[in-house]
Amino acid sequence: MPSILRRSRRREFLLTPSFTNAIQDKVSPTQRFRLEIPCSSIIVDRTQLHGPSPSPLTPKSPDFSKPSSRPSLTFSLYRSPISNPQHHPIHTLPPEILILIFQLGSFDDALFLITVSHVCHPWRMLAIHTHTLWRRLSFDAHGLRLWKERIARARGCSLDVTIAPLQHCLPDLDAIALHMHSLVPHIARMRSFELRFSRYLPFLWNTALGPVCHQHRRDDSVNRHTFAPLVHALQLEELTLCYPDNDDTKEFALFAGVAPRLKKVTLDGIRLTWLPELYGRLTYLNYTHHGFTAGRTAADEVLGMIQVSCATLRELRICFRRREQGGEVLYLPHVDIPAGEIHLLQLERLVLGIDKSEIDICPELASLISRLSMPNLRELHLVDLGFQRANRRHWKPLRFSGLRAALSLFQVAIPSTTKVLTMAGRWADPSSIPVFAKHFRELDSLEVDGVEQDLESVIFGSTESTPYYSVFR
Amino acid sequence: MVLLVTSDNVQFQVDKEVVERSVLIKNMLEDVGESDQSIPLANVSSSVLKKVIEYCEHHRGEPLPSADADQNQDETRKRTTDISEWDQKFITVDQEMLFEIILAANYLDIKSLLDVGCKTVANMIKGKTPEEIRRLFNIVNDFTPEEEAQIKKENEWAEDR
Repeated sequence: MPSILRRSRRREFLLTPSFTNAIQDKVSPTQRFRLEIPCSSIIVDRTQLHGPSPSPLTPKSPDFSKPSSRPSLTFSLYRSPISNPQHHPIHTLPPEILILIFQLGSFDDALFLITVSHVCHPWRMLAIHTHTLWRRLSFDAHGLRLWKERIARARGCSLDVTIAPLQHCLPDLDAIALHMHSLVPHIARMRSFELRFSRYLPFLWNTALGPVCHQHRRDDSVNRHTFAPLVHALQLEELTLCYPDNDDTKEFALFAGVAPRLKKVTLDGIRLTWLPELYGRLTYLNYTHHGFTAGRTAADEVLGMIQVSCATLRELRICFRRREQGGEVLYLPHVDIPAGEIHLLQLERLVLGIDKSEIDICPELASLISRLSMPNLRELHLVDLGFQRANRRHWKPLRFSGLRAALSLFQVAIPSTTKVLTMAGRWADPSSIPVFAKHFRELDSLEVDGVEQDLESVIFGSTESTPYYSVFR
Repeated sequence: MVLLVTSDNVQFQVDKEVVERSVLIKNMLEDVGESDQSIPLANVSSSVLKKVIEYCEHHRGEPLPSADADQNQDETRKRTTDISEWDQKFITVDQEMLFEIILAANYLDIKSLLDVGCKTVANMIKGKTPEEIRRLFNIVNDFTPEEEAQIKKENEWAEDR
């Protein structure tokens, strides 16, 4: 069909999927065969294969440590029996789509890739030679050999490591220790590292994090201890450590202080040595306080952390949790906390959380906010962790007695140029919202309990629409 | 409105906002500017395009994935095989149509539809043995004896607890 479509402007050259498709259209399978057949004298025509009978021409089983003697993947797919048009339409899918299917299926099924690699030769070749498919290591019931095999098959790819035992299972300390020790030689390859424990077990952090903390090695030439480079997390971009029930007050210094690409950190229930070399380039920090310190000490501890990361932070999420402590916990500040404000010039999004067990706004939170300067803040989210939108009709919590005072303080500390405000659960007191929202003169969006509000009716009390609180409360 | 012509020469008048969920067509429209010319889709039949348009209509106005979404680790790492209720109903078609939708989504560069199709196939595979997968997709077991031996070994360590 002729078309006289013409470009009106020049587009930057990008190898998009649609562009790739257009190129593929120009190269027919017939042409591909012609190009590859001359160098394929050793290749078996699998279309003639009727059973697994040995043949002198049969290629050997794949050895991942050596270069494959197999034909190219494209050739292999086209020469296999599945190229027969009489067969199922799945055989019309190009390798990149099969890879996407394998990738999607393997997210929550550790054995998915193993299963598909046992279906037929082309699928096996595709799965085994796509190293990125194997980069996700997740601690599960399938043992250490599968874990090690995935590390081997990922070859040079960076690794995404997740250790998150199921909620109903007690973590197996021995298994965690074994997995972590097998991971140590590959720490430099980790792209993300996530540890989540929802059940209490003594010494859990110690077992899990011991292998990735500093390791001393004697340097005889200078007669002193140096850090072993083994635990340097050179490619790590994202770190998640969550263990809310942790009772170990120890402070952990991770990766011998080296993680030059670390940008995103989520912490709950852990004390870390907040080194500028590790945490000085963060753009995202989601921090739930461990609760071993309280009051001014806790606020100072968090301020010290923010001080280290303040230059680059774009999103900050803070929540304080109270904990019954048997005794005093020693806290030694690692940085000088400035007497004045800490300036977060890049910060665009601030999320303040209230734990479900809290009965009022934490004084630590108010104290912290009063000492932050966030001139470029665009979004403020006041979150109640005990609130669920689905249950909002039955939500009848006790109000925070200190809410008004806290919101008044926020009106001073949070810039009036903030454009997005969300309030949920016990933050969303109907009588306080209009006054608080009015403070933000450039407000574009106001959400209460997960429902977008009409700004006019909330702030100016327009009589034409129903007051928001009568609808949602 | 944009005029699309399928491989079997059927014409479809589609709202620009709807059709622009296809990155291929969006780029074409941006390149040529305002034009009354039809856009030929040589790789898509009318029955498949009808389904694709139904999908795009339903998801009209939703934000498109960014150009560098493939590199976005959050997206690639945290995707699951969950499919929304509407999408599940939409993709409940015979297998031939399912794979044609996947190919069309790939050709038209509609990432979300491609994901829905591929997740559906992944869910069809999940929980099945290799033999059941072969039967499902009419695949011949073409492993060599050496490969069979290697697979046997892998089965042993995959069953380790």
